[in-house]
Amino acid sequence: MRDDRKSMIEPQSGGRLAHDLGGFLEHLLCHGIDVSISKEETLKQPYEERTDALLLLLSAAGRGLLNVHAMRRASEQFNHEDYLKLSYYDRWLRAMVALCIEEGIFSEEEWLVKRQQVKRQSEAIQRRKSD
Amino acid sequence: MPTEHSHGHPTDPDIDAHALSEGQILEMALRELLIEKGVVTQPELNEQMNRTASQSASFGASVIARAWKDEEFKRILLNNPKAAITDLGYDVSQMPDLVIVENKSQIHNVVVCTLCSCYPRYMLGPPPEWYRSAAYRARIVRDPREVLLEFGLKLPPDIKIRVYDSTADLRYMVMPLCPQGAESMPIDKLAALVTRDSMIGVGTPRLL
Repeated sequence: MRDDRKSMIEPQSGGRLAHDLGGFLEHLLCHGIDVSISKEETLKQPYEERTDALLLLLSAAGRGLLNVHAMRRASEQFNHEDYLKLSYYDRWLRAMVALCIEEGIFSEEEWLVKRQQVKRQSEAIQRRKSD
Repeated sequence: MPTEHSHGHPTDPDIDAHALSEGQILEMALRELLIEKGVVTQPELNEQMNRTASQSASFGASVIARAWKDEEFKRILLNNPKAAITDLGYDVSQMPDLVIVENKSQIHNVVVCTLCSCYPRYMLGPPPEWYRSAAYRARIVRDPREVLLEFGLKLPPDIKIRVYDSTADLRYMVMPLCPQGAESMPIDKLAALVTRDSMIGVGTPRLL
């Protein structure tokens, strides 16, 4: 995913990448995003808390492969639609996975196998519940 | 994990009747792989969650209140925040740089991270949801006066507003003005007036 930044830039976005939102009100409106600021403060879901912890651990100073700048680059490669559609932590999860694969921490195949395994476990538990 | 007890979403699949969401699947798969590969350990994760749970804006508030009471400390804090905080006995050497911008009678400061969600967590705890929102990031640099009004902060037209955009390497926070009439209060009472929002700049401290 390193060299395809150009394809991430939409012509109508004035050459901006998806994360570059400062002052970019029309962009949000044309993607149907509510531009009122919700002050409601909800508690994070447990998976979001754990994602937050993973993010801080992996981007902590002193960790060689996944430092804050590598993490930022990975998080800045979404196309506009995905960026605005995905939740904050779902974006970070995708960015972390992409970076781990890119850095060879695990292979894409290992990732797909693991994700499938977790998904199957979840479905199996659901089936047992509904029996 | 302390945060698991605060609300009603058990994560153990055996007690959760719902199928996992896409995000929950990604998180579980990523965490399990990273632990299997030895990149992170469960104790490290627990410790990180503990650290996060213990960070809050009350630390930033105590630092601001001290600066209100102690001119010399304030001078050092504005000049070199991390050195001043180190002097208080906290190790912030691994933390991103911090700049504290001081509100003046004619200048109000407010902080954003237009590119992401960069925030001085070690001073203020985790950022509120709205700070990370596309709407806040897009709008606060465009029409800060209107956005501040939405937060209930009506600034007279002659007060200048300065918006500071944080980055991964440099985080901003605001030193609000001490409310008139509060100057003689003890530090702990003053600290209670300094809200998180007043240190982001979307609020101001008020006498309780």
